[in-house]
Amino acid sequence: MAKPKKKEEPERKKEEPAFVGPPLRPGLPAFFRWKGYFKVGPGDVVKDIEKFRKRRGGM
Amino acid sequence: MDTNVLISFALDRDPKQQDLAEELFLRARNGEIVVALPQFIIFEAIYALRTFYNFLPHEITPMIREAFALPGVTVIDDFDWALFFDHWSDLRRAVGDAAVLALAIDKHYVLATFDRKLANRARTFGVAPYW
Repeated sequence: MAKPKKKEEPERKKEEPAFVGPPLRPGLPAFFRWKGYFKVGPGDVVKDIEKFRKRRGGM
Repeated sequence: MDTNVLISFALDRDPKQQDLAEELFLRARNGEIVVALPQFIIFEAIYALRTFYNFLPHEITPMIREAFALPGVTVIDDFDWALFFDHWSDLRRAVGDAAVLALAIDKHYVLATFDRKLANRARTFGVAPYW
């Protein structure tokens, strides 16, 4: 009797890059460290959520 | 709270809006106000940061998680769909606007948005603007 084939191991999830985020601001909850964290470069066309909503005709 | 408040706080696009958003979150932290964070706003913020600004999930996730954990911020799950459809039409196609408006009307919330047109429209339905 043939031995059952070993199940192939599922593909390992690639490790996500280590991400620490901005430093904490003393005396404030962690959320406050995100103020202005996401930098908008010259290639970023959409500057406003309102334009984004209009473009999608919704959401 | 509208999506643009969360986005403007985290993006470096508009220092004035950033400071106003920070002041709102500080007031929540101090227990002066409660900031309602609807589920659809979270989805919209993620969608915008991901699609239009190309930030990655591993960058966006901690920011959103820490917004949940902020004292004075409450995530709102329930939603009056009938009211939403009353405010979403061919004339007013923006889904997010209709959703924010419906929620504010339903729960008698003050509306924090940087969208002047939406704030003015909300006012006609008895919703007070935060700014």
